[in-house]
This record gives sequence, structure tokens and C-alpha cells, in this order.
Amino acid sequence: MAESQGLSRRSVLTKGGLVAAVAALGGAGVAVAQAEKIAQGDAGVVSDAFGSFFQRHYKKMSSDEILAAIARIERRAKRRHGADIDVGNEPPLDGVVFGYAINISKCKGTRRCVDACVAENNIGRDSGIQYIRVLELDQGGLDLDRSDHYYDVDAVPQAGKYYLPVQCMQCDNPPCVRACPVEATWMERDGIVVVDYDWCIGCRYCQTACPYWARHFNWANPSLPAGEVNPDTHYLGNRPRPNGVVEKCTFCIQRSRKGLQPACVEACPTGARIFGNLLDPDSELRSILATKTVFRLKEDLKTEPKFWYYTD
Amino acid sequence: MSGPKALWLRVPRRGWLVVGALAMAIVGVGIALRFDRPSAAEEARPAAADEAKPAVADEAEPPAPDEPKPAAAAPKRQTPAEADAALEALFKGRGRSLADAPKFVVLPRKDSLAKYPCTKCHDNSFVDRRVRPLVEEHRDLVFEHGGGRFWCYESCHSERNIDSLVSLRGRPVDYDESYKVCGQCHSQREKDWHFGGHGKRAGAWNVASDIPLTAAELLVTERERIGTWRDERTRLNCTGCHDAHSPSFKPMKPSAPPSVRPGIAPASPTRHVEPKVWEHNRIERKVR
Repeated sequence: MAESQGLSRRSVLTKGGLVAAVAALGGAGVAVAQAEKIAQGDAGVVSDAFGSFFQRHYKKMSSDEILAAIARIERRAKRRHGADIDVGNEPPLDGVVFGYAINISKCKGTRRCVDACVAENNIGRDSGIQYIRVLELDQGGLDLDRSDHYYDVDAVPQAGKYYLPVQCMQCDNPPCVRACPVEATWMERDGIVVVDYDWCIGCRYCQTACPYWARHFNWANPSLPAGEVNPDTHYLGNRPRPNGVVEKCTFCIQRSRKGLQPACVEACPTGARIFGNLLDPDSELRSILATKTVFRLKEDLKTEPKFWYYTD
Repeated sequence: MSGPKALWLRVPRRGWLVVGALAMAIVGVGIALRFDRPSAAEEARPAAADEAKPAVADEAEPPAPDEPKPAAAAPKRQTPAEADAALEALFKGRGRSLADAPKFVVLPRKDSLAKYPCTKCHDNSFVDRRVRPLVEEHRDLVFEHGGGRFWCYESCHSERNIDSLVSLRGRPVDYDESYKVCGQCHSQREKDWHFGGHGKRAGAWNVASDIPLTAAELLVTERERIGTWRDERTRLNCTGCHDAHSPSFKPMKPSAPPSVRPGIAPASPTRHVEPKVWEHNRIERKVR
């Protein structure tokens, strides 16, 4: 019966598919032409869009592909934020595993580290994201449920309180890495847990897995005034992020891999923050671990943070 | 009487004596061998000649309470090599001395002292030692160090040579090495500072910042901006962070708190005195 009419289901689908393909191709051509018109001579927009779409995982890219990706990122930052940035790709240093220690006897809760962190790491100014969370706790206890990080007082330290800054602990057994379904986050050879922002799908599983509230999600394109963009960036660090991805503290990877101290360490007015190489027996960090009473946050979870708190 | 004798009765008495002597000899040799080792290790012991006897009296049996004590429990003496090894084990990683501290450079202070050299105004031949309010010069100084118990020349500044500090033993200390003066009393802090548990490496994260964080940052130079975590460490002096005349850190206004995302209420400081869940339930039941 269907043959007599000369219109089988198969033939309808085939012809329809052909028409749809032709229409899609035409539409794409129109879109490309439109985009090129919009770009007004900036032919990079379209090619960058294609390049970003087909960009591979950071660890699988060849050096040429990484250079191309870096060029795309720099052009995108110029278009979006009007700033000329320099995206670095420094590899991990040999014989270095980074660690961190905070003297909670000396931390006064001034949040200067937070200011420095936001400015250094190109965090969106309207997003409210802060990698460092300074908890105000009652002296004599470590009940995180009763801590307050919204404290807004005229002067710190407040009587009867102490302050516990919490940020990414760069765990040696990071639960966030295991939670990621697409391997967009991993631990580098120098112990820093990094994110490939272009590979992240924004599922936020890592945010849920992290017991230290260290991961933050970009709900919108981060607003960065051109004058406030930090041009010294790193591919895995503080380059301007797109929206819909998760970001975190990287021990200022763009600084620490060049030998500089993280911004929070240098901004701390009381010298409570110590940063260094865990493999160097003469480092400040190792002497603190050897001679001070240290503890790590939520040590019972066996996340093995490379981040210690100590007291005088 | 007529029956066969038991086996032990058939052995002649002399045989028993021989067996007993053999057994005693074996035990004696065993004891001697056992206590031969420590006595050989302690070559210094003078009574090594009488061999097993004193050793058994010393160590095999607990000393009787009426025996003279020093002879019974003579303390073992370490050889110098053993003592060194024990000390090394004790100090390994813990409580090392300042001489073991890694080398570092201390940022000089004299460059940033606005009134240095002091001999611009002070005359080493005349010193006014009276404790008095300073009304003409140095009016910005607040003397809170030690609860106000110190006066210039008693503990820190030199009477004879005003351009240098002075130690408690009267030796001149350069202004660039003021940590030597501070460390005389604050020795634990000084030790921490040498090893890195106290104080700061040089390096100001953002010198162009319009809010100076510390007094040190006001005076920071281009050279000091280079702060590194690597081994060529440059540390701030004590006076780089602390005001020597009023050393405690003063309370500061904290930076703005984080913003609260829409839909989330900020934590109320009274949230822990609000009724608990079970108390809510009780109220609801009452209404019903």
C-alpha cells in the first residue's frame, strides 16, 4: 500500500534529513558571515570559537596546541575585559612539593589575604567569590559549625575570638579530583590541584566533594574592570575564567612556579602565613613541622592536606 | 628389703656429688657468659677482675633494702660518643640551636630610619637620663614596651654611642641587627624567627596598593618587592613589623566581609540561641 503511493517512511525521513542538512549548512554559513560582520575585521572571533570548541584536554595537547590555546585566551581577554594579559605555562619545578602553614596565634583576622587573593587571581568582582574564608571562632574550641566568616566589626581581633583562614588545602588525596567525571581537575607534580577551565563541564561534583568549601562556581561571566586585571597569569591559574566553571586557589601558581610567594603570604600584615617547599629540609615549613604543634583541618577524612595550622 | 632397690638408690652417693657439681658448673658458666657481655662493653669498670660474683650480686638479684644503695645501683655512665649520639637524637628536628639555622639575610633598617644617624642631633658627651615626657622631640613615640618600665638608655640605646644599640652586657649592636637586642629577652621568638616559624620573608605583594598594611610596607623599596619562597631568604627585622617602643600589634579594621549570595541569609550572631528544632515542634503541638 505504501509502495503504491510512492511515499515510504524511509523516503520521507531521508528527504527530510537532506533538506535539514542543507538548511543547517546554509544557516551556519549565514551565521559565520554574520559573525564576521559583527567582528568587523576581527576574524579571530569565529576561528577562536571553533578553536575553543575543538580544544582538547590540557594534558593531551601538544605544545603547539597549547600555544594556540594561549593565544586564543589572550585574545578573548582583550575582547572581554579590554586588557592585555600574558598567559604563562610554567611547568612544575623539579624537587618541589608546595606546602603551607598558618600560625593561628598570629592571625588577627584582618582579611588582607582575601583582598590580595581577589586582586591577584582575577576573581570576578561582582561574583562574591573568595578563595580564602577567614573563620571567626570562639577561643578554646574548633567547632566549625559555630564559626562565622561574615564577621563585620570595627577592629580585630575581637576579645575571646580567634581566626582560622580556610582555603584550598591542596590535598595529597584530593576528593575533588576523584569526583570529577571528566578529569578536568588533577594534582600536578608539585602538589598543586589545578583545573582546566576549558575542559570543566560545570557539574559542581567537585564542589560537593570538597570538605573545605574550597571550590567556587562561576555563575556568570566574571566582571573585571580593565584597570584591575592582573596581566601576569597562568593557564592553570588566574587567567580570566569563563562562566559556568569551577575555580579554586592554586597557591598562586603563576607566582609560586616562578619562585615568588603567593599573594596572601606577602599581604599578611602579621606574618602568620608560611609557604615553602616540603622537600627542602631547611625550609621554614619543615622546621615548623618538626618543632611546632601542628594540626590539619578535618584530618580524619584522610584527605592528607598539605596545609598545616600551628600555634606559637 | 629383699626387693630390687629403686633406681635412684642404686646410684652411689659419689655419683650424685659428681652430677651436682657438673650442674653447678654449667649454671655458673652460663651466668658468667651471660654477664660477661655488659661488663666487657664497659671497659671502665674497675671490678672486672672478680668476674661473675659481683655481677650476679649487682644485676641478677634485686638489691636488698638494707644494702648500701650507691653500690647496688651504680648508674651507667655514657661514653662521650654515646652522649653525643643521644644528644643528636634529641635535637634532631627538635630544639635545634641557633647555630643550626639556615643562613638568611636581614633587611637593613638604617636606610629606612628617617632620623638616623642620631648624632645629627644627639651629642654623645651629654646624656639626659631623666625619665620625663618628651615634649620637644620624639613626640610620636609611645612607650608601652614592657608596660612602660624601660627608659631609653637602660636596656636598648647606648649612652656613649647613640648611633648604635647596646646589649645588656654593654656591647654595641648595630641598628641593622636589632634582633640581637630583642632576642635577649624574647629568646623563644628569636629562635622561631631564625628557623622561620615567626616573622616574614621580604616581599610586598602589591606596593602600589593605596592602603599601606604595615609600617614596613610604607618604607618598602624596589629591592624588597622580590619576595621568594626559595632558599635565598631575606627576612624582615623585628623592627620591620613591630614598633620597638610599642611592639604589640594594634587592632585593625578588617576588610569587608564576603557578600552573601541571593537566597542565602547571612549567619545571624544569635542563631545559636534561637529555639532548636525540637522546641519548634513543641510550640506547634501546643497550638494544635
